[in-house]
Amino acid sequence: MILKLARYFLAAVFIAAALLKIPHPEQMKTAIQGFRVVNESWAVFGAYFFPWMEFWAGAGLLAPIIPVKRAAAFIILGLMTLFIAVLISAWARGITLNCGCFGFYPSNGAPDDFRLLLVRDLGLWILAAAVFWRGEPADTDWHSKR
Amino acid sequence: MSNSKKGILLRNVNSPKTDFGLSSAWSVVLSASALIALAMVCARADYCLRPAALASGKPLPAEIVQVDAADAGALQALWVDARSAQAYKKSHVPGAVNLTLRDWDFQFAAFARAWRPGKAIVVYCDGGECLASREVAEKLLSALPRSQKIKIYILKGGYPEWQNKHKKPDGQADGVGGQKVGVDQQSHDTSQGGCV
Repeated sequence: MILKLARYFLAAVFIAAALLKIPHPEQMKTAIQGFRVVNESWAVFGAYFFPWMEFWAGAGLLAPIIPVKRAAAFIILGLMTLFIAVLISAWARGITLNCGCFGFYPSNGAPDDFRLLLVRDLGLWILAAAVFWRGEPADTDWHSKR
Repeated sequence: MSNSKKGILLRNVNSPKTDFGLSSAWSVVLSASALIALAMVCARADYCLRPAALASGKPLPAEIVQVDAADAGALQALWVDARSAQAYKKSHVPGAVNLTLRDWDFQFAAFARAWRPGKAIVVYCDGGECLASREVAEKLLSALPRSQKIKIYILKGGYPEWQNKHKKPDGQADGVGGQKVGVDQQSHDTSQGGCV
């Protein structure tokens, strides 16, 4: 039950984040460039790709097919690992930024708090890992067939 | 409770939920590939349907116009490379100065030494999908004295297009830098990001 809730929660978070970002690729591009990790071409690619990847990963978590759920959780694990790595990298380099993770940008331009971002991302990483590795009792229905 | 039922119960309690076989692992890999492919297709379609979204729909100022690589050579202009310093070091248009928003403060001094009032400026970046040339051109327009007649050009297709136009018979572009870059490796469709 807890893992099912975790799965629904992750799906909701990722679908919401995607729907907030998909309409605004220009803001997403600026946010990606703020990390100073990739050049502009890759920032444009990421501005279009990441929101859609988040959307399909979130939707995959709701699919009634077990491998798709695991695949979606695996992709989210990968995305969160990437996000955490670039956050730590930016923090270590003393960069201040707005991550734009949910498409919100403060009007006063105040930078995000890296500690809060990392705690949030680590929490999502743990949830995704739990969904991927542990699955749900209903998923592992091999025993019920015996 | 029969022994067989006890066995099922024990297996239910103790069975590792992480245990999924090779075929299951493959189905997860295939599903992940399908999800990634879906995301790529949607992102590509999104980009093709809304190519202007990145430019915020703003029209270019009158002082900034786009120019083809074929026409740019005749302008006798100062070339401005709006790509990263790394890309500039690797290869660039002969005589170009590197000027990016990121390192504007110290790169602008080099630009100011190279530019003479009245001289046209051609700005280029990575290719059709890049906006750095537009951003640098707009910042240049606001940074240069308004009393001067300023004409700034943005190179259509960016550096890859320039390389295509200056391709040597051996397939190498005529760029300046630490190494010559093969046109076939560098160039890509820059018209609309290959959407047409």
